[in-house]
Amino acid sequence: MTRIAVWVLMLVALIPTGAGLLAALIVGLDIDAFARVVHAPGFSTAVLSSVISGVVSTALALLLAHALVALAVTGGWRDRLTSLSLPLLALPHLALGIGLALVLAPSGVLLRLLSPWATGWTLPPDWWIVRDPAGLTLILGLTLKETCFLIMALIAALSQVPADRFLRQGATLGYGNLKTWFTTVAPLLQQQIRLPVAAVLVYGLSNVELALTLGPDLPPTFAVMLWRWLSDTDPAMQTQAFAGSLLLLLLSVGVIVAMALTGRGVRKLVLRAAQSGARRSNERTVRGVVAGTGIVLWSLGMLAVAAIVLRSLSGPWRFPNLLPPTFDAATWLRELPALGATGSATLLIGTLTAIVGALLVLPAAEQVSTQPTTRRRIGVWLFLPLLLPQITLLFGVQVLLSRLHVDGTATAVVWLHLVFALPYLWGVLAPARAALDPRLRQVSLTLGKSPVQTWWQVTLPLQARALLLALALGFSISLALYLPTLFAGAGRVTTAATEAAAAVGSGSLRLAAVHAILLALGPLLGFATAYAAGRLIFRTRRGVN
Amino acid sequence: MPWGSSALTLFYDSARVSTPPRSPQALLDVIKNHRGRFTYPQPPAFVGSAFLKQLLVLLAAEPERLQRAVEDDFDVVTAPLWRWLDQAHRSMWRGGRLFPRSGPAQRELVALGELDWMMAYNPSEASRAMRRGELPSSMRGLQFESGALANSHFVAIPFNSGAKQAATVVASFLISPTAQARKADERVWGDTTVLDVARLTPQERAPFDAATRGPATPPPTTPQVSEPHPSWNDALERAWLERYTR
Repeated sequence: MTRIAVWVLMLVALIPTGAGLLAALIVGLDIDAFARVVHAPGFSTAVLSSVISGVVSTALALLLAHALVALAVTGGWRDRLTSLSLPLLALPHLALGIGLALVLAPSGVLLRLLSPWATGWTLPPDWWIVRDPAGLTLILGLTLKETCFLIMALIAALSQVPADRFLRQGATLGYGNLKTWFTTVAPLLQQQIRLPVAAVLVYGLSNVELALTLGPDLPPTFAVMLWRWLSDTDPAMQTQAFAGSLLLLLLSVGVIVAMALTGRGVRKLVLRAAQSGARRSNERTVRGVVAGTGIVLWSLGMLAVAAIVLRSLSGPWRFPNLLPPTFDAATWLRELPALGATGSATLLIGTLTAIVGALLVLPAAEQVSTQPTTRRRIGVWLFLPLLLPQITLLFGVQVLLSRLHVDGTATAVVWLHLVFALPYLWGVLAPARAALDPRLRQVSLTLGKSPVQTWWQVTLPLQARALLLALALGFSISLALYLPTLFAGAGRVTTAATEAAAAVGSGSLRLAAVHAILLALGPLLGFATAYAAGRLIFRTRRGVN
Repeated sequence: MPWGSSALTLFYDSARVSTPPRSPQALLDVIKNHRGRFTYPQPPAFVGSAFLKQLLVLLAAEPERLQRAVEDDFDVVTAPLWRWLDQAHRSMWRGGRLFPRSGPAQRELVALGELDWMMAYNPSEASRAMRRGELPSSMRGLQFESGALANSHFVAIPFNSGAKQAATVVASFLISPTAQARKADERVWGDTTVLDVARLTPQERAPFDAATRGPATPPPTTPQVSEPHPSWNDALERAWLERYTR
């Protein structure tokens, strides 16, 4: 059988990655530039704070996601966990960063709740909470965001693991549900989500969005440092940024390897716990602690959203006023006229990314539906770009695009967005296609329908739910991409994400808040449309799932 | 062609700072007496670098030296600046170890009540923000008595422009009294004109005289000092990062 569809998919995804990496290597391999990077003020502290915030937040998020999923599934509130995580998953990193700063800072909502009646303060204390040198606030923000992502990844992986059977067997042997879960189900789930965890780790290490709003400074994290060098007008600084981005790549690879090794250690510990035979009848304390942590984090996230909305509608909002003394919609009204062009560009690029992505993935998924090994291997390859620091990859892609004179076009932007959306589209659509009962297709063919008719009338409707989810996912991923849009768009393609980042850069939180809200509305709109379309399609196809 | 001018202006909350400090020494005293309420944007943010240059011009033993390029006397010339900063940082917001990322970011901290001070190159910055309801109405502006750091911004035509003549038409319009007066109005932009208003005809001058000046815009009577040679800007930014990055 020809594999054209698979090859087209792989080429679309991997050409920018390969070329970007190559270009970054060619420009960045400059001994002088490396020397300047290493001798830049605060270099080692910056690297250290990148590694610590990335590693600690990933470990915490992974632990918490496992614990919450275990709790929710064994406690019968799995669907509630999904719907609680969704809004925070849809909230862009940038928006979360702005919101958390408004909540946690000394002049933030939390201390306003206590002031002045309990604290006696009429001026905020000069505490170093947000943008603290140890990066604790940054770790908190990353943990909050990535826990939601990993919960979704774990719940998606659940369909591949016979969790119910394990839980019953464990119960028969006298083990508590949580012990059974962590010794049998969790290790299998972990196996399934290794790539998403690696992506989370690399993102934590190399992100600019959260590190700018919550991270330390003087020195900042290494990624922010690179980001500043890149925005410098001096070409020598740009070479320095390239060289630094290669170091960031090395760092990411090193951390992924270290994580894989740690994972082995943890497996041994889990195995030992499994063999100990210890049974604990009362799991209530553990459940309480995990659920409590989850509730606190979730409330912080929701408070952040509320604070952003308030900020976008408030004038001066001085400490210790809990609510802004005056409300006005001036910023909204001033921004609205400009929204037409940006909004339509955002929607167009998002929609194109989703549709083209689905068109690339569907035929390829069809071709490998009966070959699980190939399917998994394609997934790994598609995931590769997500394991590279965005900055490293994008430096190279920008060089490539500008040499080809296609930078600044919507096509370039959509192509680059596809690189980031395809792994997720594949992750949703390929397993869904493989899970279809092959006999349905065979029956249709036996009844004299052509392969095309069969695909259109039988296979595709059966995949409709997964397809809608994939489209909504592709759309939201495209919307949230800031750096890729900026690099491929060369500053000439503006979307909600670039506008929001520009607003953050301007320093006006009020303006940034307006854009953060608009940015968060997009994914919600996408998922709501997918849900509504699902209702419409399945109105006449009861029982099909 | 120059088409607008700027003068570094500091803005303070008059509800908390009663006597405006109009010299570096007076400012240092205010900073020490109001711990944690003053800061400046982190260099190389535009306004932050401007604040360093402003202080250097006022504190340097021989200000004329700054008009020539940086040489190996950088440390000697800038020593008074670092002395001032080292003292001020100890009493500044977050102990002078964290800075707002930009001028507007600092304005945000004023709006949230973390700071009493902000600064901008445009003297009408705070008045305009107050008009938009983004700053408390008690903000006032000040410039240093012995001279506000001033410069001009320019419009230029690229050497390879394909429409040079059209560009000169635009440039001529931008420099016209009509356009300059409109640009100077705080309800529009509040950017100081580069024209010598005294030399305009009474008819051309009328809109300048009628232009509104908000309560936080200092009167244009303070003397101005010119920017140091451009090489000082880069050297100051580098030295600042070296010195204050942990």
